Amino acid sequence: MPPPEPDRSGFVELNRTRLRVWDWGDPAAPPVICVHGAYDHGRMWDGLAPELAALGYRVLAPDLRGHGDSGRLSSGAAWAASALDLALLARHLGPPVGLVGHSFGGGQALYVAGVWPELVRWVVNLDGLGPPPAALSPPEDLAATTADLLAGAERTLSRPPRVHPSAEALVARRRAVNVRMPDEWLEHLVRHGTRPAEGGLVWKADPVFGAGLPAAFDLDALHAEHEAVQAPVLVLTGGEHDTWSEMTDEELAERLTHLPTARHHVVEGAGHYVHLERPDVVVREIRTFVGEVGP
Amino acid sequence: MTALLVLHDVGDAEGGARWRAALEEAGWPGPVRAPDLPGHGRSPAAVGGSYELADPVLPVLPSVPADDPDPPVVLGVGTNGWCASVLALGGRASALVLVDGLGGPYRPQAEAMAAERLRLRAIADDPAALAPPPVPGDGLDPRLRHGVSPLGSRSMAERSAGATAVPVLLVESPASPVGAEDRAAVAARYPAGAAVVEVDGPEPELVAPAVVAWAARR
Repeated sequence: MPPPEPDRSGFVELNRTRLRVWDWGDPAAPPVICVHGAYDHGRMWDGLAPELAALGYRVLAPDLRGHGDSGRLSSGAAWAASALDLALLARHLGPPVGLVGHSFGGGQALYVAGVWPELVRWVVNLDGLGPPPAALSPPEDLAATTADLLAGAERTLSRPPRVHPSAEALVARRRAVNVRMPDEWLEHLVRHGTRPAEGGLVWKADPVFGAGLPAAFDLDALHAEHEAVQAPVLVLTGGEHDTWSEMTDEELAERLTHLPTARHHVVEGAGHYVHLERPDVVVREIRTFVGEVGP
Repeated sequence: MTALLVLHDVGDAEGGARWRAALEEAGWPGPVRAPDLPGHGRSPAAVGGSYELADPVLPVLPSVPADDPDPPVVLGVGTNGWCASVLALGGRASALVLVDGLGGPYRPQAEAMAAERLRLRAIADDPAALAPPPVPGDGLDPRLRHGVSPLGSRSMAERSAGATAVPVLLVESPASPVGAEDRAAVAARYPAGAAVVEVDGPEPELVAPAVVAWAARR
């Protein structure tokens, strides 16, 4: 059975873009912003958001720029612009806000908390502490890697989005990548993450999001981002092996040493999509967390 | 008649026009392409106001195809030296010219990230930077007054230099954010060496004769 529809939805114009925002709970309640991961969208919170609203929050889940129904991109991940979007959304709502982020969105939540500490009351990070150390190391062959990235960007910019024949085909593709995700969520994310096109469906996510180019971002930079966070942080990671959850226990423990305000809980029976696989545990942990650090 | 592709500096309100004029005046022996990058000169602002370090590579990619038998010399100015370096690394340039373009100031990542936090906070507090951008040709996008975070990692600059296979000219002025010691360390990493020319300022009219003279000697 699909989760209920959001209580409200609309668009917010800010930071030179237009964000689709999904909205649950009492509009006068303290705001919580839920931030989805790369290539996902705000409707991934359809299960967790009503539970958080029941705890006494207004819950808002934007489609990040380049995702869902929100504004488009002219270059890759747009990390800084996306963080600015979230900060301005928090200001628009009336800070401080709670931030719940998954994967890329978890990284964004921590980053916003580090840049604008006055806007963020607390952060819940769902398997979003960044890639494993090896992925942040410089490539062996920088020239070959750069040539590949340029060729990839060229393809992305010059071709129309790929058309897929059916929702079933897209569910099958995602199932091959998100091997632990429950079928009803695969179907839900495809239903709300695609739009019709001639010959089938295309993902709403802007393919330009993936047009990455070489940069100096490395493990030291990630640690510096995390060390800037002053707000209380709850980190939830899955206990099961999964794609996109590639850090070893030792690497995860080391990563957490750079987040001095964080407490960590391993959610058994879940992989990368902690909140979709074990929403009961996630809600319980958040309830306990906000009970200790304040609403 | 090798073409020259110029990537002007971030925040250069005139875009590429002054560079094109100066290099043609100095006698560059081929076509000079100096586009106005997004948000500069007569080009529209970047979609959604997103400006990140390597972004200017994307709009010029169609002009430097991978199968070009005579790829251009690519010249990058200031912060956009990194974009020129990326094109050279990726095999899209026959030679690389950097005008105060080695990145910098080089600093530990913690300091670089702190500077980026301040930059983002300044944008968030600047109504002009958040307002709809000016129409193309109506001046510099006010958001670009906050710049973009430069390449701040000396180790990345060194790695990039070590992987750059084409001839390199470094034009350095007193305005360069990279000190002599750092510059020498990075320059030494270019496999074929790097010619270094010092000029009195980064203005196109001062730089162009040095670039043309270097090209003539090659």
